[in-house]
Parts: sequence; C-alpha cells; structure tokens
Amino acid sequence: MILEVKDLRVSYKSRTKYVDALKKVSWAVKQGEILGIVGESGSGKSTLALSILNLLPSDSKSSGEIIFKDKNIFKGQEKESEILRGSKIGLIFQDPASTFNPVLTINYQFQEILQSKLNIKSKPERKKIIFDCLNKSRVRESQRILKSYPHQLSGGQLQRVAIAMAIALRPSVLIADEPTSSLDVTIESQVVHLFKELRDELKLTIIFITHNLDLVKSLCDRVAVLYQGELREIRKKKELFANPKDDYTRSLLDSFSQLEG
Amino acid sequence: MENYKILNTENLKVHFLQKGKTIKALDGVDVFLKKGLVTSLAGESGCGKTTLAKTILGFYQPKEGKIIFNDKDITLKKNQKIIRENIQIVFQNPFASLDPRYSIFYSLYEALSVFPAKGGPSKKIKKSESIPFIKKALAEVELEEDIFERVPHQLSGGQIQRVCIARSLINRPSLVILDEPTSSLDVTTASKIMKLLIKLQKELEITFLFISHNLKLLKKISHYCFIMYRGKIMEYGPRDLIYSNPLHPYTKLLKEASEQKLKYLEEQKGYLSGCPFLSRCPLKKSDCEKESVRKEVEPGHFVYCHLYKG
Repeated sequence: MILEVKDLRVSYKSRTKYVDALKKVSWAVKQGEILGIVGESGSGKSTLALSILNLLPSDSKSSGEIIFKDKNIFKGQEKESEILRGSKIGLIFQDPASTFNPVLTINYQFQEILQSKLNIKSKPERKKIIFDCLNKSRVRESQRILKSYPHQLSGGQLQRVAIAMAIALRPSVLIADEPTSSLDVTIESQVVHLFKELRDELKLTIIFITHNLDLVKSLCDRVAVLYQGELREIRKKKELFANPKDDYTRSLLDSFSQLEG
Repeated sequence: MENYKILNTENLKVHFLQKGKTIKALDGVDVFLKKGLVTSLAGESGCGKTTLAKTILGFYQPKEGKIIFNDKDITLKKNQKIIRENIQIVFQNPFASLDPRYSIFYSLYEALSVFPAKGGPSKKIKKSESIPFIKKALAEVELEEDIFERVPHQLSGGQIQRVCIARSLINRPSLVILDEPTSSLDVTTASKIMKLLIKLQKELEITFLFISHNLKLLKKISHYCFIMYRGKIMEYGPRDLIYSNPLHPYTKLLKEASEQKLKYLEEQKGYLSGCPFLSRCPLKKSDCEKESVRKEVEPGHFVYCHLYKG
C-alpha cells in the first residue's frame, strides 16, 4: 500500500459550530492503481485531496492518519509538506485556467518549478525534461506552447500542460481533482485516455476525484463512494457497477443511468 | 399531423472581428425547430452553439440571413418585440442568471410584469396579484413556497436552476432555449432537472431548443438532432436515425467521445476551404476541399459530407 488513509475526520468551522466534512474515512491505494473517488457536490471529495497534501484551512479540526510509504504525513511540519507536495504527491485541479499564473509564460512557470522543486541548475537539462514531459502528455507544437501565456491556450492544452508539469516532478501518487469537468467531451475523452497511458508508462498511482460515473467506468480499477463525508463503499469497479451494496451507491447509479437514457 | 416549423433560419451568418481577423462563428446555418418538439444542437466548445442561441434572441445582429419565427423575420428591429414575448432562455450557469440582490419572488415577479402572459395577468400586475401565478410557477418546477423571500446565494445550484426554468416558463413562451442547463450541476441533480424538463415539455407542449455537447444526454430528451462544427451544420435528422446510424465522421467522433472511446485526435493544418472538418477527418478524399452540399441519405436524415451520395 503506497498511500493509506486511516480514520480521517475533518470538520470546518462555520459561524456557530463545526461542520463535519469527513467522518472517519479509511481507505488505501496500491502502487499503480487508479482509485476513483465519486460523490456529489459537498460530499467531501476535495477535502480528502486537501488533507492528503496538508492544505486544510488552519481553523479546521482534524484527526486520523495518512500513511505514505510507511510514514505518517498527516499534519506534518510545513517544511516536510512542502517537499511532499508536487514532488511526491502531485495534484491536478479542476480548472486549468486558474492553475497557471496569467502574467508569466508557460516556459517560465515550467522552468521555475523544476528549479525550486528538483533544484536543477543547468538550463539545457531543464529544457530536456520539459520537452520530454510535454511529449509524454501528448502536447503538440510544444515550442509554440512554451512561448505562450495561459490565456492564449485552450482548456485542453492547458490541462495537458498541467499534467506535464505534475509528472515532471516524478511524483509516485497523482491526485486529480475533477480534472476534466471544465473540458468538453472530445477533450475529456482524450485526457482520460492520457491518464491511462501515464499509469502504464510511469507506474503512477492515480487518485481520480470526479462525479462523473462514465469516467470512472472507463478509467478506474477501484471505486470509493463518498456521501456527506462518509465512505459508503469501496470496491472493485466491476463489482460495484454490477452489484452495488449500499443504498446511496444504488441511487447514484440509478440517476446516472437515467441521465444516459 | 406533421408538426409545423415554428422557427427556421436561412443561411444565417454571424461574423466576429478579432484582432483584424474575421471569425466565422456561424457560417451559413440552416436549422429549423418543429412546434411542440425538442430539437437538440450538439457540438464541441466554440462551434457556435451559443452564438446561434444568442442570435435567435437578438443579442447579435447577423451579417447575412434570416430567422423566420412564425412567418416573421425576427432579425429586423421592428420585430424585436416578438422575440421578447415568445422566446425565453435558460443559461448554463444558474448562479449568474439571477440578480443576486433580488429575492426569488421579485425575480419571478419582474418576468411576469414585463410582458403579459397569454391568458395570464395583464401587463401592469400588482405584486399582491402576482402571488398565485408565482406559486403556480414554483409548483411546476417542484419548489416549495418557502423560498419566496430568499436570495440566490441561499439556494443550491439545482434549486436556482429550477427557479430559472420557472422564470422562463412563467409567461408561457412558445419557444424555450436551454443552453447546457445541466452542465454545471452534479449527476444526481442533473438527472432530476432532466426529468423535470422532460415532464414539463410534455405537459405544456412547449418547443425546446436543447444545446449540449453531451450526446448521451441529448438522446434522452430530443426528438430531432442537429450536429454542428465550426459554425456549420454537419448532419441532422430525427434522433433515432442520428443515434442508430451516424453518418458524418464528426458525429461518429462525438459519439465515440461521449463513450470515452476517443483516444487521440489527429489534426492537420493548412485547409482553408471546403468541409470544416477536413483537418481532422480520417476519411478525407480529394473532393472534400470543395464545399460540401446537403445530401439526404435516408428519408429525413441529411448530411453535409462528400462521402455519401444522396
């Protein structure tokens, strides 16, 4: 098990009380596995991603353990988390347009993360890594794209660049928080396929957070269903789709199939 | 009885100027909407779906072409009032469609007071008189009366979208345009909204123009489908024919994508004329650099593609 979450509880402060965002959630993921985390808005999917990367707001309450490569990383020192983020556990966000700094070129931003995270001093070496990663995430015309500013690129191109940046730091786990929900169908399908290829090529472990069961069906090995901060079910994809045990999972699958017609 | 065409566009062209370049957002679009049916418009981002909706509503002035609504050309200034009275729209992002300072009651009251409803209240309706109409409108979209005095930020996305649907239906328009009404909602909510829309459409027999990029979603609701790419119509026909026998390579690609089977898109540059799909088309021939013409492959099923003989 490369990443294990044990009895994780998180609650956020609201005006008068604490609201439970995650209630005693436990799961684990193996190396090279794609775990899908599904649930509707507000079910705690993103909180889960934030707690793994130690990015929870400071006034939230939390308890539990997150074990990454036999070490508890939950609520670690800021210095340790800084090393962890990006280089050990990568994160890809929902909206590629707000992932990048709008006033710097892609090239500048790419060079910067390689310098600060991997400490690569020589420019040709950095260039080599950049082109290699853009290639891996199937970015065409990489020369032109590197010279561009974020607003000059389409959503699909930006998301591919974001994926390239994430894999450039060679993380062992990649958390993708609804990476395709702001893209349209033709691009979504390609990006999903890219995740599959990356898993096979780089032996990446991917935690894929989504509310789209279609994507889960075509991409994931195992699926965890979250509802109102509770983990309702975590099983192999085939078993879950064929024979959902939990009531909520069943209603989720129902609304999904109704939508499909 | 054959449903007559409530709206049709003739060679509609809308061009935008951007940095000195002309962008052909709509490049000769002929679509028609049949009364009492759901017509869907599918295509990827940037293909001109929303531009078409906005042109029908009179937000953009077309460069060429006509939009005929009940035998009147609504692109003319003097006919603008017809648009306002008969055509309504529900937008993609419900949060941006309501005034954040207005209560739900006031948002609906405003819609009611600006244009008189058919068989409804007169134009200068008082607030107190409008209550039964608004109650009824909210009941139609399955909302409780207790949201009357709330403001949009106190509601969930699904609830606001229901309010938007109620607002669009309150004056009983003859045509409602739904521009990706479920794409910012999650699966469970989206499924409920789709059910509601299907129910309302059947009950009220309103004509819908349903815009989406998700073919799976459209399959559920539509009777008639138009597939659009880069400002042109690629294929159209009754839903069952489009889904059981997609003809145009682009329709096939969209279908593949909606099933997550599309792996990689090849794109070649350098084609300026002919079929707009040429740069991506896997089956192109030399003929394709010529303008494609409409062909009827099966009865009622048309395609703009050189691969078929009509």
